[in-house]
Amino acid sequence: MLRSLILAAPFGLALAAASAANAAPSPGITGLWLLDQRVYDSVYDQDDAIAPLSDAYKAKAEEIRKARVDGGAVLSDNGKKCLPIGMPGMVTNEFALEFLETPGKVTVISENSPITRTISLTRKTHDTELEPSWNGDSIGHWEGGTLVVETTNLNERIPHIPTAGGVSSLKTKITERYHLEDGGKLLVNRMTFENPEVLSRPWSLTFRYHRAEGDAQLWEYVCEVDAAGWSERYAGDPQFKPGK
Amino acid sequence: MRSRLTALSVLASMLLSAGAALAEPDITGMWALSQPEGQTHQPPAPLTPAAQAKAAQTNKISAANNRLIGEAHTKCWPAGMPGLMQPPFGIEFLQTKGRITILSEVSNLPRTIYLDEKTHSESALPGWNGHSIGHWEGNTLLVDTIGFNGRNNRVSEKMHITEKMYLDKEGYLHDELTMDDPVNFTKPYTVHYRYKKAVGVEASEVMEYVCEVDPANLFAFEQEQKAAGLASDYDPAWSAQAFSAPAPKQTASAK
Repeated sequence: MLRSLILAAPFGLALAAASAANAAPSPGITGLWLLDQRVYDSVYDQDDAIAPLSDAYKAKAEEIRKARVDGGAVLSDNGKKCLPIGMPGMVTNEFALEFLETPGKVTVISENSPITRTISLTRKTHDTELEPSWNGDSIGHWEGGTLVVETTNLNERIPHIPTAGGVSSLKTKITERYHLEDGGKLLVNRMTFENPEVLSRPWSLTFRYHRAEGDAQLWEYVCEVDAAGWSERYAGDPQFKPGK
Repeated sequence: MRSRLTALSVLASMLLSAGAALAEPDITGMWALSQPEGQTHQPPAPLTPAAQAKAAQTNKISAANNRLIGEAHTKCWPAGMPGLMQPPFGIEFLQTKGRITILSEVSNLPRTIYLDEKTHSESALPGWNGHSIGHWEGNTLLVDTIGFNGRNNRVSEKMHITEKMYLDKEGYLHDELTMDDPVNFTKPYTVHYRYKKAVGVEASEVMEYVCEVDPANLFAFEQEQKAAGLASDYDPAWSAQAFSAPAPKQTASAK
C-alpha cells in the first residue's frame, strides 16, 4: 500500500499541473514589481514612443494640449480631483505594482490607483453590459509562458493612450503580453493600443518591471482633494458650478 | 493498464484533497455581508464622553444644514477599519503566499494581512487601514492591526484591532472584530460580521466603485465648519469672487 501511495503522489502532482494550464510558469508573476523605465514629460524611454494619431485626432489633441499649457496647467485635471489613473496608467507608472494570482484570475494593485484591476482568466468574452470604466474589462489567458490580456470598455474620462492627451473615445482596446525573463526576476509587458478612429495604426510600447525584494509591501498612497487650495484649481473648471 | 491508471488517479485525487485539508482554510473568493437574523445591528458602541461629544457636535451641524453626507464621504476618504469589513457591496479575499489581500468595493485602498510577520514592522507608517499581521491557529485566522492615522470617525492613533476570522460548518465566513481604542471607547468593543460566498458571473470580480469629490458639497462642508467655529478651509475672499464673477473662459474649446 505504501509503495502505491509513493507512486501515486507524483502522478497526482502531474494531474494537478495539467489542469492548471491556465497558470503562470514557475516562479509565477505573483509579487511586487517596479517599473524600470524612465518617463520624461509622459513619454517613455523607447523607440516609437509617441502615439501615431489619425489626422482627425491630431488637430484636436494639439488644440487641447495648447489650451492646457497656455492656461498654466501643471497637474492633470484628473490628478487634482483625485480621480483614478485608469489603464494603462496604473501599470505604467513608477509606483509599486502588485500582481496576485489566485484560481481563475490575476488581480493587479497599484499604489497609484484607488481601484484595483482584475484580469479574468475564466471569461472568454467581454462583458458588454458593464458601463465603460477607468480600468476597463480585462480578460486573459496563458499561451505557454505568455499572459495575453485584452482590455476593452474603457471610459471617455481619460485618453487611455499614452502621449495622446485630450483624446476621448470609447473604442480603445489594449492588448498586453506579459512574460518573465531572467529567471523570473524581470517581467516584460508588450502593450498594444488599437483604436481605428484615434490611431493611424496599432501601436505598441514595451514595459519592463523588476521584482521587488521579497519582503516589500505596498504602502498606503491616498490622494486627498485639497480644500484649501481648491479655489485656484476649480476656478477655471467648466464643470464646477458653485452654489447650493 | 487503464484500470491501473484509474486506481492511481483516484488515489492521487484523494491525496490532493488530503493535502488541501492540512493547508489553511480556503477563504479565497467573493463574499457579501450576510448578517444572521436578529443580528443585523451590532451592539451599541461604548463611547467615551469625548467621542459622544464629538458625535453630538457633528450631528448638530448636520441637522442645522440638512447635511446627509458626512466628512469622510464628502472628501472621498478611504473607508478604513472597521468600515471596509462591512461593505454594502462585494468584498473579495485573495490568499497568496504569505498574505491575504482584501478588496472591498467600498474602499479605495485594499487591505493586506501579512502572514509572514510575527511582529509589526517599525517601518509601517500610520495609515487609514493600519498595518495587519496574522496567523492561522487551526482553522481560525487571528489578525492584529495597529498603525492608524486617527483620521476616520471613532478611530484614534491608539486604535488596536484584533480579529478572529473563520468558516463555519455551513460555509459562512465570520469576522469577530474587537476595537481597543481608549480615546473613543470605554472598553474593548467587539462587532461580529458574517459573510456569504457570492456566486455566479456577476460576483466574479470586484466592480469599480469610484468616489468623486463634488466641489459644491466640499465647499459647503467647509463653510458649515467655519460657521460652527471649527477649523476650516473655507476662504470667504474666494467665495465672494467665485459666486459673483462668472468663471473665466477657456482659451480654446475643450470638446
